[in-house]
Amino acid sequence: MKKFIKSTIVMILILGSLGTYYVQSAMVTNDLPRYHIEKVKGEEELIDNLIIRGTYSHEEVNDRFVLTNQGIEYSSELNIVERFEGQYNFTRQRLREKYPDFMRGTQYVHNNLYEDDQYLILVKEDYEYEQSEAQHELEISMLNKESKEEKEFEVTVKEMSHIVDIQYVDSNVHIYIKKRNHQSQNISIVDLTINPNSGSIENETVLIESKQSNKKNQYVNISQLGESVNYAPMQYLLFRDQLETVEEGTDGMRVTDRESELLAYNTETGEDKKLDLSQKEYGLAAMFDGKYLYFEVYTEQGDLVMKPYNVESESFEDSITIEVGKQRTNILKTVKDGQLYIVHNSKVKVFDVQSGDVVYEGKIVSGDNPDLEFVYFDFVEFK
Amino acid sequence: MKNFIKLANFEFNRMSKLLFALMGFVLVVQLGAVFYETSTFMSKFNQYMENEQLTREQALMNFDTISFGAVMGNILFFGPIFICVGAILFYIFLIWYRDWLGKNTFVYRLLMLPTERFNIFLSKLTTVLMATFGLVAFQLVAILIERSVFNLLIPDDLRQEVYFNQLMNTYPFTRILLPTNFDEFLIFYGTGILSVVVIFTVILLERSFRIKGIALGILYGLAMVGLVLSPIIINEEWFLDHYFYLSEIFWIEVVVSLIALALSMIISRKLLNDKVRV
Amino acid sequence: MIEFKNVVKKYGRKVVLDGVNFTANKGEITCLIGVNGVGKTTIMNAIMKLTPVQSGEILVDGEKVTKKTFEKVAFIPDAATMLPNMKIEEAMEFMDDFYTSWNQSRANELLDFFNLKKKDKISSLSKGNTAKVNLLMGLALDVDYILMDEPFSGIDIFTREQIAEVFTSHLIEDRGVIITTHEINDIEHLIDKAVLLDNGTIYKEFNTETMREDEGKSVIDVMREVYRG
Repeated sequence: MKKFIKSTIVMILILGSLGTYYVQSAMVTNDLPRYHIEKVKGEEELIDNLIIRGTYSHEEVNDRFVLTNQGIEYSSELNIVERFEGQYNFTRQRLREKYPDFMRGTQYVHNNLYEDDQYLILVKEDYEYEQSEAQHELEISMLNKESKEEKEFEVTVKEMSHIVDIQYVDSNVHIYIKKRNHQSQNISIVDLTINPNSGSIENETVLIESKQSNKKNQYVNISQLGESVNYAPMQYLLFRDQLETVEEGTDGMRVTDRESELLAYNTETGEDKKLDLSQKEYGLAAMFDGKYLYFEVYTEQGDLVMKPYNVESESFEDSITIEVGKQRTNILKTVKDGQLYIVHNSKVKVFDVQSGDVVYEGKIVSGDNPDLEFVYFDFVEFK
Repeated sequence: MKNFIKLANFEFNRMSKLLFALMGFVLVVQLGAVFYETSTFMSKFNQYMENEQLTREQALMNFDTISFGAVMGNILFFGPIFICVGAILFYIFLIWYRDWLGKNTFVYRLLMLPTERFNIFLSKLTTVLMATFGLVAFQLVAILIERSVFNLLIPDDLRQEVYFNQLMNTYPFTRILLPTNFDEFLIFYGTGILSVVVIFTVILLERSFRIKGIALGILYGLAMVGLVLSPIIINEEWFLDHYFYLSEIFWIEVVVSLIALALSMIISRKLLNDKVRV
Repeated sequence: MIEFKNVVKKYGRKVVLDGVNFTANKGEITCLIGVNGVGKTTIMNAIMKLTPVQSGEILVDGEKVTKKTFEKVAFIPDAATMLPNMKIEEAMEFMDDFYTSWNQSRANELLDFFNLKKKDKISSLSKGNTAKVNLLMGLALDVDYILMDEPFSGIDIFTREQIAEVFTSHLIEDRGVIITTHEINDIEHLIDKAVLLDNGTIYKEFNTETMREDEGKSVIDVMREVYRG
């Protein structure tokens, strides 16, 4: 059996060394703490779609994770496909799992998605050049979640720059787009009202238009105020219409002056109004959920004060104070549907803005161990 | 089965000298990287201490520590890995052609053995795989040896400890050769095995039909590449427009790859049985 | 019995075997005769499935050639078939590993007969000794048929005599032998049957003894008629 000595040695080497390597790699992953959110009080459904992202870093492990009400998933535990696609577009992932057939062919979801309890609307963009002019083809697919009925229609738009938002109001699909005229460079926000039954544009309304000034160093722009949940139904859309004066300095172009107006557009009535909320006076507008605009201020003690501004009534609700104290730890926050979500230390809290009550409270723990020493939470969002 | 094992062992013994030589080469040259990096580092440190007129403790405060990663970034470390990869690639061809070419035409003997001729194919495949995995496994052991030598040469307070998994993840060579995730290992080496089987089929096409076989072989190779890539290509914008999810494409790929593997093996078996020439 | 039935073999457009028919019987020495390049070697390769044929049938004892046939027919090509870095004993071990028909005592006998040393490396052997090793690997198999391709070409006179001696010994008796040669002299007296080949076809197939007795012609006489006439 002398002949077999070499191959036996090499076989043992292969199995022993590769086996140990992969068993040891697997063990590192197995030892990761299983954090979960334990309910203290309130309605648990509120955090069903909440995602807390973070990093666990201890000794040889440095692993990103996603914590939800369903538990924790570390990057190293993902299969190869999930690792390749990346762990970032959770809305797309959730919709794919729930509506696999409807979501086919959808590469990304962002501003091109609308979702309420009954409908899911997706818009795909496609460019086409016709006589050197770019045309956007918008392919709209609409799913009735209850009846499973799907509708698809296509409309063509000129001068479109991008989709701003999608809403569904009074049985009509509203696609809000930003347009830029090639010659004048004028910018406008346009509401395309589409009747799903006819599948064509019934109405094209200009909500805001900004004409470029004649001065060479002035530029206009319209931007939408970020929404915490892109796809959610919104009573209001907020736009900032601004005029920038630019000067060429030694280090390139520099904005020397900025005039801006905050406009609130009511998606239900189609009316708009100007909001008088200067940053100097109220602080930074941090988040918007369709009804409330949230301003945040830190007190001298270091506590965080959230001031919800009711766009409808144009008044502030009672402030919500989150005690930070001297620790100055990372506070993660997001809003949805008149509710403020705070992740701080090892607590998850949901405040109802109108009443100021805590409607949900949970604790992040691993077994009996509430120790978050090696954990860093860096982002909270809705999937 | 018994004949396959005997044949595989025989083939392996034929390449074992080369394999052990490569292993020795890897260890020696990589140890060279260890000695080079440690001695440059230590002499830099000593010089710094001397020039600045510092005590060891003072010098330590301002001097960056060294980790084993420095060794892994040295060309003497990854150079031998490239050479081994090249040697294996070369051997994939050599393992067939050496039996035909030269004065000794061992292929007569192989083809006249009273056993399934496909065993020849399998034994050569097994040998290539054992050599590949043998080298990879040896590289793991070699890193452990090199790391302990490194630790002996650099005092604790000048050394930055890096965990083994992190080391393996940091450098592209080790990350591809030994991905820390086992599924990546399976996919990487699965693709490798498929490639070797397809190349073997191309070689057998050439050995069966000679000049015409070269053209056939190239066409076959391209067809296989096309077949394996086809699910990804047809899922692009111009055809299915991402109709399939990546996870579905993945499993389609697995199935298509297995089909390509089976097809190549069936063709190879047929060629060995009925078409091959001495 | 080894039978060729209408075997056609082409390399591209070149027809090497153009409907070859002949039989070789067990217990007889059949000699394939023809100038170089008429397809003698191809016939042997075809029996061992070392080259594909386009049509026709090759049968060994009435059966098609399979892996089992290789325990029944041994082919001794004119090139060495063992690895050059093997010792003779290693080559014998290899044969023993794979062939149930390997007969070690006969191998030892042949080793003695040919005056070969087990410990010698094949690559270090002279041309004559390499040919002997080749013969040894074939003859030590307990097979019914032995195919020999040009066993005498390029070999010194003493080795030729030694090899010729094998044919009359018990090492061959009862077996069927097909031998190819382009020089008939050495073995004319040994062969039972001659098959003359030309341009890929069988020109003449005859029993040497009958030919001598009936027509009074030797093989060379017949060859003269055929190739010159």
